[in-house]
Amino acid sequence: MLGTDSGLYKFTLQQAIDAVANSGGVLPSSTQIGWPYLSGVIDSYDTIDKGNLLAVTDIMRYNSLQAPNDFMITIYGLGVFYWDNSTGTWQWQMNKLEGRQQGNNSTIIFYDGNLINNLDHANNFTRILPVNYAGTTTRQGYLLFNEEPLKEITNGKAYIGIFYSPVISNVDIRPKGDWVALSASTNMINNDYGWNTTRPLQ
Amino acid sequence: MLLLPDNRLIVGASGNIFVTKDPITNNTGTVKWQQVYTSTVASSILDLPEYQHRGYVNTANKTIYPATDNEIWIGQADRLVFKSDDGVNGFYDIENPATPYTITYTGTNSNIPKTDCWFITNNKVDAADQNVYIGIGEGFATNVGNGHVMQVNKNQTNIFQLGDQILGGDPVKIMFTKNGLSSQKYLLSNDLITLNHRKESGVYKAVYGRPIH
Repeated sequence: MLGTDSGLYKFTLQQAIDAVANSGGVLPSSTQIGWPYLSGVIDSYDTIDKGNLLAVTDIMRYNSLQAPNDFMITIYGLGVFYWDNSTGTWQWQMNKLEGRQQGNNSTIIFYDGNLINNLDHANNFTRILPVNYAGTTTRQGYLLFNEEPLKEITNGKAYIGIFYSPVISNVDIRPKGDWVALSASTNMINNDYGWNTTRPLQ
Repeated sequence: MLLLPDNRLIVGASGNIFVTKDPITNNTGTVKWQQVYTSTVASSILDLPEYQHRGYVNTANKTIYPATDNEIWIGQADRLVFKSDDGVNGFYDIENPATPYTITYTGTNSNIPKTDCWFITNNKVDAADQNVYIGIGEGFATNVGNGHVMQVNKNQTNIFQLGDQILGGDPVKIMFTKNGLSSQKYLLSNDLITLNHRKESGVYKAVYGRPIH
């Protein structure tokens, strides 16, 4: 499976060999399995310089045993999508995106249902990492990584580097989509400086 | 990044390695992180918290300024500004010349912030100006995260901060003019431009800030 900035492709090794031998390396169109455009969003993207906003940055299998053909991807500018192979549809697993203000950990809402107005916020997603209950293979949640650790906000900076979302349920182990940024405790007695804050000299 | 079996998370960022003290699944919005350092003084573990050990791991060079073939300055993430006079060995903290630059550095306390050095340069216009100019991304104590520019003479006998420390600002560039220090300018921050200049009274002030996106 290959994620590119022009879509997702699923092909066999033989198809790749044949493409190189017979068609200059161009895969047959049937290998493109879809593209998770969001209704009402793609038009807006078409009016701006997309850059790599639509690049696929990570792919992971949803459940190797129970749904081996379902998977999740991260798109650089949009976040997590789930591919339901049984229906052939994409589902966007981003209900909410919350940052945490550096220094006081107050909630900074970057996204809460209106993607189009939030394209400039916290949208450099590069990786999704499953988290199981400690010592088990039971899925508990996911970590979503952002390329940028901090975001300038009106009164300082907000943590946006790593987000966590629990699963929907023990049965439906897609991310619930309420992504909350990991921050750094402001309690300096019990906490060294946050992962993206340099410790000052002593 | 690495997820430990107990769901604590290790990440590398800002030139350092950090580990959460609790499972990441306990996220309540106030995550406790611990920077990872090398232990340099065995006995100190008895009476000092681990973060007082110097000699950070995963420290990254951010800038190198070759003043001459033999005089090399380097700025590092989360460490200090170092200088070598022989161009090969003997890098030392510019404020503690007796302290050689090694990973086991345990220099004395200093109130002059000089970590996360973004650039080191000389006066591009006035060759008579023998000072070195250093852009610093991290302030000290209550000025954590604040950017500013330092002026240092090459013998490190005169080190002082130019202008104000700017909240959340990372130094980008210092611009030199032919009119000397009275009109020298520098830029701070990647995301917000704050242009600073020196007033006739000798006090630097931010004159305006303009978001560029």
